[in-house]
Amino acid sequence: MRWGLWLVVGVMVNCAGEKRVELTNKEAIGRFRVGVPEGLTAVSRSQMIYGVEVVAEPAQPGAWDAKVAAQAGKIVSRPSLGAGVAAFWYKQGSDLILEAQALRDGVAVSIVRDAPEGKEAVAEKLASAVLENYKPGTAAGFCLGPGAIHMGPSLSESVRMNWQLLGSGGKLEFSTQTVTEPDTKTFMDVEEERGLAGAAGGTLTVLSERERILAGLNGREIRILVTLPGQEPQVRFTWHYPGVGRDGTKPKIDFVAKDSVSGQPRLEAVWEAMLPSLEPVPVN
Amino acid sequence: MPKKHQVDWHKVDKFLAGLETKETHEIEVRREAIPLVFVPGIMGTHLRRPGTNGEGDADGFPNLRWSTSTGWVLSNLAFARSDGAYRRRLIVGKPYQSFNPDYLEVDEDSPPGDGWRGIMEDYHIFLNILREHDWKELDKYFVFPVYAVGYNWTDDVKSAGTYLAKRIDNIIEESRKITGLCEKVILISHSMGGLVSRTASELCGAKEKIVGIVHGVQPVNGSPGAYWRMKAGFEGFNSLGLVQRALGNSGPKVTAIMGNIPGGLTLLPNKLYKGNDGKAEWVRVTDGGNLIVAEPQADPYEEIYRRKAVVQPKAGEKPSSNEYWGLVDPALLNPENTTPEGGDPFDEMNAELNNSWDTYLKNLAIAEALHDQLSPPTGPLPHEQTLAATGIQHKSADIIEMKVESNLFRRDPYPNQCFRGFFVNAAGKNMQAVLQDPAGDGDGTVPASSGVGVDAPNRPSPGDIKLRMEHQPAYENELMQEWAVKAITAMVKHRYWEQRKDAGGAP
Repeated sequence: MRWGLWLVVGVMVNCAGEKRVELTNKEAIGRFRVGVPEGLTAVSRSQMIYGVEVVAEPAQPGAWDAKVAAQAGKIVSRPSLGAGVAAFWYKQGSDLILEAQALRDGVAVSIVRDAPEGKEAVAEKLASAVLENYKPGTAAGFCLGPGAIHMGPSLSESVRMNWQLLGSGGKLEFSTQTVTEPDTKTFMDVEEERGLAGAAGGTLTVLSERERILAGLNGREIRILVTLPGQEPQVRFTWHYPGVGRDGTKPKIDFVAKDSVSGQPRLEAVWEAMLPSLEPVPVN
Repeated sequence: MPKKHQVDWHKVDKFLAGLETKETHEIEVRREAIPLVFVPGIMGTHLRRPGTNGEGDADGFPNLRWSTSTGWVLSNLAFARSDGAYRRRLIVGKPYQSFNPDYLEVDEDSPPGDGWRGIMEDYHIFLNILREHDWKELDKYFVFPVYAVGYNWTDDVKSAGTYLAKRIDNIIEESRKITGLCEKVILISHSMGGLVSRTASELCGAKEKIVGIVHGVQPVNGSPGAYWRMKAGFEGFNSLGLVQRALGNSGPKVTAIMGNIPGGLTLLPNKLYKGNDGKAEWVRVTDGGNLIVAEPQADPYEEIYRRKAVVQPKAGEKPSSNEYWGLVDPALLNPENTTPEGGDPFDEMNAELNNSWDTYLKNLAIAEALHDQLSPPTGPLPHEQTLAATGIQHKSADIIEMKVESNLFRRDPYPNQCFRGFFVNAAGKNMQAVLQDPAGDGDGTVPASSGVGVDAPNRPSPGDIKLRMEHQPAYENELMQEWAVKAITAMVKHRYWEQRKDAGGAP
């Protein structure tokens, strides 16, 4: 079992009564937890808090040395960020980038952060704070998988996780991002997308469009079918919550699922299993 | 068996010395290769992450980070999340990364071969016309291999020019191996490719290896259209193709890319730019017919681009002093970073480290340096053998016009294909300056006044030309294709007489 995956007791049945899809685990990412149906394989995951990219993974021997080696020749200094923390600054183009790693109970917690020249100390203080506030477990905080950062919420947080649907070309994505103003545009302009499909010689059909509340958040779900010349028609499902400006606990949220039309029944089943499982993770 | 000899085409009327009289000799006339090298416009080159072959995904993003193929555009722009944050990650990198010239590279073979793979497929239509063209008499003396040189359009135009100059050397060397004789190429440019071609020629030492340059719809002195699109997204009223439409229909989507790459900023009006009416002030805000903003007076960098576009007035300020007409709203440069308003000290630290504006200024300085070198006060530098085609009769932003209206309730400065700058006037009323649709003459992107920037009188036939054509598909226009072939022919004839100058006769 992966770190931080919560076993879910019970079986989800999708609304349409089609093939049942079980939630095999729950994934805590950022300020939310979401059930992951069977047949989905995670292909990427990223988290950012206070503008610091942070990753927590089971510690692998030699992984840090490989990171250091990858930047060989570009390393400009190796700051001390506290006991048990390895760190270095390196130049990439005009960027000055800090990478650091702390080992916590068999987990490597890694951060990446840039800084303008002369501001290195500020970045080191910020990075140290993020690393120091990591705790195992995802009952609360800004979740990374095996553990969470117990800070904030910050005004600059974002997460993104992608899954591949086994046995098909289906893809799913979950992302959140704090906003200054509610984002009422992303995935909301069907007419613009219809124009894009038309520009490609195809058509776009809205299969359904409705308000849908998940985790107490009122978002908009839109399902479209795109048909293009010479290609198998594609379906895309989106659920978009616009977020609340300057509220780290209410970032904008997007679920996106895509597949060819032949994969639509399975995609719908996965979608209907996954979305209702969304729940917020307490800050503290 | 006859003894074989090779003679360059331009030396066939010279005496052949040292031939033995008792032998039979076979003389092969060696034709000269003049590679026709096409240089595409911005976003006309496919880009990938270095270290990949452009296939597959990594970190949830495609390794092929830019392509103009329908499938790619639909998957990765049109029907993807595709907000400013996504676009910035796609082209520039993660939020903690600023522009890095090594982040992307041209998606081409190694070695690049004819270079066609790396560029937009739509260009292949014209390249095939060139490849299959019957050059008639000229075929006796010359051969015309057709190449394309894509470049990393996110990077400084100077870097692209340097790359093009190097590729010209490679292409000449490669062609020489095949024909035995190749000294120069002819460049055919589209849009930004014109700036790259002139940079290679005038600033990167390739001039002597270029017979001439055929320019199509070059933004010689830049285009206010670049400003318009960073404010409002790509226009909706034009018959734009899929790629242009997918680039973004709002300022936040476009600025997240263009504001973070020096290549994009190079398309802005330079210090020589004038509107179609000949006036230098190309940003004009009118209130009831009265001109209340007219910029720049002399230097768009200082008077427009380096001014932070604050699009909402400061609370309580009457009249407000926010310069909404500045090019870039700093908040749009790195959408994943939110500027705090006091409170969490760690948010304050993050804000202190967020150098998006400073990075933008660095990228802007790169664009300015290129502009200043390529278009000094004496005028834009062209290659001596230049022919240029300008598109006209399509509505283009030769100036930026905003009209002031009262504002009671609107808050969004960035509706699709529009921009509203909010301010408080001297009477204390809330007002909005609303960006107007482009209305000048041009090709829909480059105004006529800029397109003709390297035109000159008394050029050989077919001369510089103005054609009714749109910007992006310029080389799909039949009249443009015919003109370009004639322009290339004129340059080849110039080359003929350059080689035959000691034989006498008029060029």
